[in-house]
Amino acid sequence: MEDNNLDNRLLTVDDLHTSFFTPSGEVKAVNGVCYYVDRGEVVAVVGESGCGKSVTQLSVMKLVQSPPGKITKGHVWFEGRDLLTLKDKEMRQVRGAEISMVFQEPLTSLNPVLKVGTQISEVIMTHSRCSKKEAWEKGTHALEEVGIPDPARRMHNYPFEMSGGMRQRVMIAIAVACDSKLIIADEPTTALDVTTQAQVMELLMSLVQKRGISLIIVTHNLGLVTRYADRIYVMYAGKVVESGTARDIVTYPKHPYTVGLLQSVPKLDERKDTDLIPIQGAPPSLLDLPKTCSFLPRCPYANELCGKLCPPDLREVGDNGHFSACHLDIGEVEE
Amino acid sequence: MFSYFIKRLLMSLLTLVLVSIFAFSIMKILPGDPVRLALGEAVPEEKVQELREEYGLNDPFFVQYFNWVKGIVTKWDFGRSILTGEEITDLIAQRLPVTFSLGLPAFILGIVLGLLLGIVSAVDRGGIVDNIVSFFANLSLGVPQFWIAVMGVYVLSLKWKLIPLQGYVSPSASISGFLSHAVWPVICISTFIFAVIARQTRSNILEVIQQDYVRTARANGIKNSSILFRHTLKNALIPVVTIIGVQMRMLVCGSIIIESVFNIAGLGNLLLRGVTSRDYFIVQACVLLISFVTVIANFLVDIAYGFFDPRIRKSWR
Repeated sequence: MEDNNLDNRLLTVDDLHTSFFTPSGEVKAVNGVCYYVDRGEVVAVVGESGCGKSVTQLSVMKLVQSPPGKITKGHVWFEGRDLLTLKDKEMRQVRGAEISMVFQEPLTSLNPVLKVGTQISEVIMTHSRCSKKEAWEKGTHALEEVGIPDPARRMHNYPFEMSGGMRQRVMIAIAVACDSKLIIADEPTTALDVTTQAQVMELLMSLVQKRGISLIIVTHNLGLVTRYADRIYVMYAGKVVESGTARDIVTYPKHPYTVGLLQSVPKLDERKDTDLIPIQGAPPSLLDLPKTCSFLPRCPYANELCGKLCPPDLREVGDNGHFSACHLDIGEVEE
Repeated sequence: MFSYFIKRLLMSLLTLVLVSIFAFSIMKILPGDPVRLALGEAVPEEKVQELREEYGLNDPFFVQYFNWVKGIVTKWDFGRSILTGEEITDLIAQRLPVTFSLGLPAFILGIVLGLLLGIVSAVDRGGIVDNIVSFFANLSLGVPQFWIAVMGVYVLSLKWKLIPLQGYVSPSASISGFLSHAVWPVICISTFIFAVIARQTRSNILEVIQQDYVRTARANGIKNSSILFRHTLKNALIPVVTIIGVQMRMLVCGSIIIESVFNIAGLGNLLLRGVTSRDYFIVQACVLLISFVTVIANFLVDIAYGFFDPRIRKSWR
């Protein structure tokens, strides 16, 4: 990992391991993940369902359900502190005030029996010394900022009186209400319809840019993030398999999995009869990871050597911090 | 909101009417002549017919029903016992306070303990408290109530001589007498409601804690106490309210079993007497009274739902 401009570094996740201890064995959901986020940077974590991308973020926030989940190893450095060593009370002061999360399901992520205003102002009151009334005003202001019309009236609404897009805006309002330095958006648009998706992403991006907040977008939608992210981490079976600038990842993918992901994204300018190329097979069981490269069984490029070597580590494959965990050196994607 | 209550009230009234018809017909459907039963085999047929005429038992079904309802509505008169000729209204007036004085403390004790220990055991999931509470809750549900009652009497009364063997003393006669007589019956009646509420509260909390919105609250750094009481409990208690409503009828009909074990002259005992001796009017009156309370309880539960759940409250408009 490159270590220049460390002052600018906000979050460094170092060799993070999170496991779920189930009756059938230890599920290694996160298996040695490293990444970093600079101030004001937009980073995307991409991978298919069950690759550990969400669990990684929940681990950073120490929100993994325990039991059965447990962070077994690693460090999460945030502004010089290792979050994993913080006590519960100290961690609560980080959550919502320094790092905020926006979750996938706006329909279920807000409490159905509490007013939207109650939920926002409670977060504000928790993290700043202010009266109930001031918190309510700040909350109203936050709703206004995320583009909710008639915010003063909306504060008195319950979540079920709002549309999905509106609720996600409320989630974002809560996330920015306490001036967090980092927002982790876990599949922020997956549950929304397409037109709302774009609006919510634009809103998130404009807030982030205006306030200089860092943003981690977790998604399986590679098409979505190439537009917004500065850098991309591609995760597979609990590990980062490729990382680099958004441009490098999209134009010069070095890992066969990334190549597969890119080929499976539909493009508007393609002819209708061109088939999408799916990635064959299914991800490996996290209960029993292979001793070799975990992508090997599905890899179209694999050769004999791959089956004999240990799982590949990330190695530098290009300028601008482009890393890939593959023994091979695949060139340009064959069109 | 007002129209909602009117609607609910009318529905409750309709339920009451239907239940009263049902209560009235249930003993008519059963074979056997209660008057003959009351007077005995030796009495000549004319005498039986005379009494049947006096009680109006030879009138058509709906005339009988109408007269019965008219008596209750206009004069608060539930009729007379066929066997003893006592006024049922008086019988109820004597026995209701007895049952109520046991049922209310048991009800409150069961709810308070059930909620409290349900919450504690959910927080302490898998811990010592959780296991102890689960053990007692399952014991209360699994072991017949009369067995608990009898064993308690055996130990507390016969062996240790802490409480009287059986019977009842009104609190207006002697507070200490009431307490010593009532303590064990009250505990026995409350075990069931305690067990149901504790288990339901625990499992609901554990379910709600898994919800996305609780995770959101955690992710926002909300304090644990607020997560439990504000974010979790309000959602978790909605099903518990239903149980409390269902159990509310216990306030008037009490526990028939417990009243029998302790030989307490409550409403449950009256109902039992009515059923075993085919005393029509007593059974009808008791069933009607119990359904009346049940209907009221359901009405209160509906209002409580609205208090806990804004989705229901808003749909009232």
